[in-house]
Amino acid sequence: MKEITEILRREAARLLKEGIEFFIGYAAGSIPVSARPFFAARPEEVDDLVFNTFCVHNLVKYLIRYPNKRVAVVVKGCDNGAVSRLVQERHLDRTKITVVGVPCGGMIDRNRVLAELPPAARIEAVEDRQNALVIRTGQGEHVFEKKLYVMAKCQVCAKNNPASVDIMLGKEAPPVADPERDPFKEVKEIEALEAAGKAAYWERLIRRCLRCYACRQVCPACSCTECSFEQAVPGWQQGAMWLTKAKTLPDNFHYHLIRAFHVAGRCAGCAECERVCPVGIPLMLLNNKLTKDIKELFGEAPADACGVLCTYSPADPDEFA
Amino acid sequence: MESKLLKKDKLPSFLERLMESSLLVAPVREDGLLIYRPVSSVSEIELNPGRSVLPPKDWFFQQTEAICRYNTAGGQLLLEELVTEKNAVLYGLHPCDIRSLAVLDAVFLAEPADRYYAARRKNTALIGMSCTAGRPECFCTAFGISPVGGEGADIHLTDIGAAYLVEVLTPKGKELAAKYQEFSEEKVAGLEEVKKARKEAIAAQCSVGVDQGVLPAKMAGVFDHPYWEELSRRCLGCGICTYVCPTCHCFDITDVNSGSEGERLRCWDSCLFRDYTLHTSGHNPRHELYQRLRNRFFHKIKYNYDRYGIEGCVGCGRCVALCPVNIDIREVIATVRGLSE
Repeated sequence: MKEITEILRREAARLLKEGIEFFIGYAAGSIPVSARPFFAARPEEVDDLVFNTFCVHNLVKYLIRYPNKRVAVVVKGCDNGAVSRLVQERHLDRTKITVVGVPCGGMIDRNRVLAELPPAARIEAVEDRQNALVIRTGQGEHVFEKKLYVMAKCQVCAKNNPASVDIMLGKEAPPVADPERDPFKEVKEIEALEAAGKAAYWERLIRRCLRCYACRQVCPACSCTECSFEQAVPGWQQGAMWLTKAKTLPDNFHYHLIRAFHVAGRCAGCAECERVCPVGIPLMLLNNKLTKDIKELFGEAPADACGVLCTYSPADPDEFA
Repeated sequence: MESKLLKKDKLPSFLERLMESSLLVAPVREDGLLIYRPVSSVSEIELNPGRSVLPPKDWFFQQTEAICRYNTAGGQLLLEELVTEKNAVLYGLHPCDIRSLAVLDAVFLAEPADRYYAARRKNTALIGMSCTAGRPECFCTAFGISPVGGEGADIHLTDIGAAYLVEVLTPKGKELAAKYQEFSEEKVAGLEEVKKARKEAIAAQCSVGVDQGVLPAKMAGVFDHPYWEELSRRCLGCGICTYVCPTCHCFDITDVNSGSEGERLRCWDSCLFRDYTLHTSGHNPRHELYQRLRNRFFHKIKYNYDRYGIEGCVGCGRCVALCPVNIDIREVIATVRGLSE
């Protein structure tokens, strides 16, 4: 990880000297077992850049804020899909972006690691030992085998070395995915429930939603300039809003179902929505359900099209919609 | 102040006794998430809670509260105000959250007082609980809060091993304590020392100094500093920090209408949202994300202090723990101190 950080800083300094506006990467976080997005704007700032097993954030969403600027962005394999999707949807001009790929050995699921430390244990040091994460607290050393503590998305990741990037840093990483693990295991478990069971399952979770909209804000597929749930300006809707700010079960469901359908066929699987949720709603279950349905109904999308749901064919036997 | 002892195994029966005459709102763990909500049985309660994910403010200032019902059928306006008069006991508040109610009081109880908040506040007794350890994000001591202090609670509990030290701090607390006869009156020597040692141990972990009195003035000089734009680059513009904040109190009013009747709802709002302070004209004085993010920190560190003489932050660390991009108010405070005006 040290090695990759050094290469990263070197490349970032070079790109900044060549005149890019920002190099969007990661820096160390202020709380244990964390990193944070970091915007280097000058070559002397690159020393704050890092890449390690806590760099879980998908930085691609930030690109939408700078459509006319030359920026470089660090992507892991799971983030990379969002770049091509946004380019295909013409949110981004590919010629202005430098995509810097990093080989990824899996990202640590911070919450799971912290939950297993003894209560009130004070973290004194965190050490990355290739296959294990070692956390020293006042109560001793705790060893976490990385393979078992990477995020759920990493356990089924088949693209931990991002493809078609402009600059690839470091050596290719060995596969991270657990070949035994079915990516749709949890979806199938819910599918197997009776309708009432499904309703009860989702009601309990969706009721809890605070409607902080972190899942929307972080999602690179949520690329609308103005979200339909933010339209409060007087206009053809006579000032009506699709949703009030009221936290009610119907409004919460309304939001979540629309969100899921709006990203259907466009979700790149980065799982950021699920990571950022402060109340632990398993949003990837919804996204994965749609991915699974799309696969079963339409097959794999052609790799270079903008996704299966916006592929048009005059030979399509069905009417529109 | 009266001090008593409560054996640990008696705590559930004490809470049960309280439930006979009041609604008990207590920390409950749901799927690993610690939240405060009304309980129907003591077995649901997390008796020694850590810091909850969501602050207890929701009990007094609900995320969504129907404040009145209206009906205009027959050409007449009928208004029914919805003020809660239920008696409640809120159990298990940590010192930071107890202080947060003083912050909210300054806003909602200043004349003209907010009837909805005032009624809930008046009818709710508070049982505080000292912290037993600091979390990595805790910094309450920066605001002069003692992690073992019960000031603001009616009854305050401190874990001292086999028992809780029970401090009865107000007349309301006295009334509650009188309902329960199983407190022990025995004097235990050295309790003050135990509390003091606990306080110092936790304080040593909360190492951020805030220098109140200096900082608000400092803030005034850095309003236009490029720092805020730089900080906002990684901000997602979500509402997490404001919704998990025990002192954030912005709200929005919405009418939910159905034919000739409806309800007026008061709902939490967040200064990070795009439509926050959006004018009818379409103009927004805080159009850019950096302006909205700056507003949050100015409100916490300066505006609240200027207006009410009490800091808008209590150092609970929830926003630090939950911000998806690690925007850390402790770091903002430290940075602001070092900025040149």
